[in-house]
Amino acid sequence: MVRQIFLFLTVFFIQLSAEAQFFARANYFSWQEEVAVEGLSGLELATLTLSGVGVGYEFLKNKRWRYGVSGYILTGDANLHALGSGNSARRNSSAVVGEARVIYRMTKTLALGGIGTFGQTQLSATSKGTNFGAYFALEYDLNPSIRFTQSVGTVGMSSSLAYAFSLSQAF
Amino acid sequence: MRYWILILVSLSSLQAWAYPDFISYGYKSCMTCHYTAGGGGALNDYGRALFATEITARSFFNKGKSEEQMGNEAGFFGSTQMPSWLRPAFKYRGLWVRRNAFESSATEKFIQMQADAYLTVPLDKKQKYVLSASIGYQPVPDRLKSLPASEQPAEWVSREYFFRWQASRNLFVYLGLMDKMFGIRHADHTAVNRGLLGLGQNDQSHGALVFWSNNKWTFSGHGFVGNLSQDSAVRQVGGSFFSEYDMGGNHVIGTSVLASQSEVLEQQRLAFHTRYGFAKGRSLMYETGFKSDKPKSTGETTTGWYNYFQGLIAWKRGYNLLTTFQTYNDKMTSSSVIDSRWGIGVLAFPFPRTEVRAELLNARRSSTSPASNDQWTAQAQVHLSW
Repeated sequence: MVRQIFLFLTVFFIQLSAEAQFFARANYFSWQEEVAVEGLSGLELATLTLSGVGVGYEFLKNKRWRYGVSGYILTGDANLHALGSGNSARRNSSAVVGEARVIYRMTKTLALGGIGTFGQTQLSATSKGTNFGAYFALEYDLNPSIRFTQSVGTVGMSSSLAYAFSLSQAF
Repeated sequence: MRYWILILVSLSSLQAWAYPDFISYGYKSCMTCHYTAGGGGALNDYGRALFATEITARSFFNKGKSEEQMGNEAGFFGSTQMPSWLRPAFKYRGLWVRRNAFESSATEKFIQMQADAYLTVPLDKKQKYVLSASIGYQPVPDRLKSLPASEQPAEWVSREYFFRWQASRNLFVYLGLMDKMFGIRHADHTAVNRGLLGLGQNDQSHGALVFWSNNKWTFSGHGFVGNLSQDSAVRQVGGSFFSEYDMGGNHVIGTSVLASQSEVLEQQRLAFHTRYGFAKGRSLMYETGFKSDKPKSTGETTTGWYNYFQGLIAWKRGYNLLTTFQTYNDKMTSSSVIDSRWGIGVLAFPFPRTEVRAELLNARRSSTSPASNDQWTAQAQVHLSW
């Protein structure tokens, strides 16, 4: 898996032009995935609501297309769909999420694109689990350096909804 | 000079508010389009003309007409002008809703939300003095039909009647039954920043409102004594203060506070909001605030925190992508129930005087109890503003 990711990133970067921007991002994510829970056997469905900050790097291929990668550290809570031995279905949760995005600019202030995420989620006192997500993103340029992104998709390719909001400051 | 241009010029000195989303068209204030200070109720002449000439689609209707003709025909009787002292209006809103939209247990319902007739009487040509009133039919909700007739809510209600005095170029005084001035007042009266705060469709109050604005600042103070047609025990008596600052470039920020009490409940509200039009027809609105309630029976104060976000993106005149996201944290403790509602849909003005909304909503709850599946709701609304 690591080799494949490395290969993907190598090809990804070679394809890109030199024009690039750094971003600082504040994020809010909500999704559902199956997680390991202490006191319960197997995996249990959980609804996660996490927020946090991250950094991103985007390349401008031309006036229309942009490619980028970002990383986030998120904290929040997970609401289990079953009751664990802790006798509360709400658990503290954290996640590290990496993403790759391809964005197409439609107009001067509006762009849309796709975002793929790779995340490592942890609930309090349980082992880490990994997930993949795919989002459709709508991005607004609020001014030349601040962008707001709304995304909707799914995590783990399940039928459940995942959504995210991101406010980005370019440097 | 043509009718609607005359109106536009005569009102150009006012701050403008339409739907709060329409800040992206440069309309920052409700008073350009409405007789009320905080929006809602009947449209004034300028609002009618703007509805026809700025936001209504031309795909199906009025293809061959000029904007000027469309503005001219926006009156109550079309292009037939009425005396300046008489301005009738009618507003209808109906909602079709399908709950658990993708489940076999789905239920469908049609709700008549509003059928109000308005009569506004400007007492002078400059509209320095204005009288306005409404009467509307509202069927008894199904859940209340089992109550004895004497305990059912009235089917004929007035949601507003007031006297408006323009004391100076920047200062307006209102007396009567009105909506409380607080936060972003938008069309979804069930949103966390409206109905949940006691600012819903039927939460008007008798009182006095003072509204002042200049190019940069807007201030409003509203003292109210509750709706006098209600039982005195539940009338909320108090006041609200609203302010907004124009940051320039179709961007405003604002704050609101409200404090009131009845014989059974004390209420306090605090909100901060921003509205930003970042391109023509494209706007974002955000409001965050706190809701504090103290039932007098228990003396225990509960404070909740809400967030409301809305994005409106026009892709063609008359057709907009509408996205909403709202959350409510009921106690701000580790055992709080946190409700989230995410929505996506279309807001369209396909014909003159007609607004259509269609939305898909996802409701998600986080609590200390096991989570239940998300609830999906599909809904469609039609609004007629005559």
